[in-house]
Amino acid sequence: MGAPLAGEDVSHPRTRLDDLVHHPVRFSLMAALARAEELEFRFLRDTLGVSDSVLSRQASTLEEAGYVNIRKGFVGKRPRTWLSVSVIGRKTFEEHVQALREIAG
Amino acid sequence: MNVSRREAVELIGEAERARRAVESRAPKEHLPFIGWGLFNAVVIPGFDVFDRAVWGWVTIAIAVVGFVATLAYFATRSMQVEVKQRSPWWAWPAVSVWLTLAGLLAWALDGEVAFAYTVSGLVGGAPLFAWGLHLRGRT
Repeated sequence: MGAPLAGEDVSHPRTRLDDLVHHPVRFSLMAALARAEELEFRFLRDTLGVSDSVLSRQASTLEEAGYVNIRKGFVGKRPRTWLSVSVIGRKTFEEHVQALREIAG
Repeated sequence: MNVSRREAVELIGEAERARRAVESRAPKEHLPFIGWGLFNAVVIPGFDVFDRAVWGWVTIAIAVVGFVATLAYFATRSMQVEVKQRSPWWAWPAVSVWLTLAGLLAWALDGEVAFAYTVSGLVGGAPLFAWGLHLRGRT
C-alpha cells in the first residue's frame, strides 16, 4: 500500500492505492482474475495482450505477494497453468479500485 | 502515489474491459437450461403429431447432438475461464428426475388425454426454461 508522506492527507484515496497492483499489467491481470474463479494462462496472455514472459514475471510477483495463486496441471498430455486471485488479493484489488473511483469522482 | 483523475478514469475503464473480456469467454450457465427447456417444449409435443416410431429417432438424434454440443461448449470454455456456478450442485440430477416424471406423466395420460406428450413436454420444459431465464437475467 502506498504509505502517506509526512503531512499528507491520510484520508485521501491515493493513500489506499496499492503499489503492487498499480502497475499496468498487474492491474489488468488482477482486474481479469477478479471476475472468475480461475483463468487459464494463455487466455490471460491474449486478453492482456502481453507475451508469455511478461505475464509469467508479473504473475510471479503477485504470487510472491500472496495476491494470486498459480496452479499447474495437464489437459491430456499438455501442461497448462491456471491463475486465481487469493482472498487478500481480491480485497486489495477491490480497495484499490474503490480508491480509483473516488479519485475519478 | 499520485494518480490524476484522468488516469483513474482510464484505469477503471481498463478494469471494465478486462471484466467484459472474461465474461464474454466464460461459459454461460443459462444456455443449457434454456436449450433443454426448449427441447422439451418443442420436440416432445411432436409425439402427439408425428409418427411416433419416426419421431422417436428424431428426438434421440436431436438429444444426442444437444448433449454432445453442451459438453463440448462447457469443456472448451471452462478450460480457459472457470466461473462460479450459480445453480446448486443438485440442479442437473433434479432436472433428470423431473424430466423422468414428465415422461411418466405422458405415459399415464396417453390415451386418456389429447396431446398428452404436449402436456408432458411443457410441464418438463417450463421449469428449465424459467431457471435459464432467471440465470440470464442475473448476468
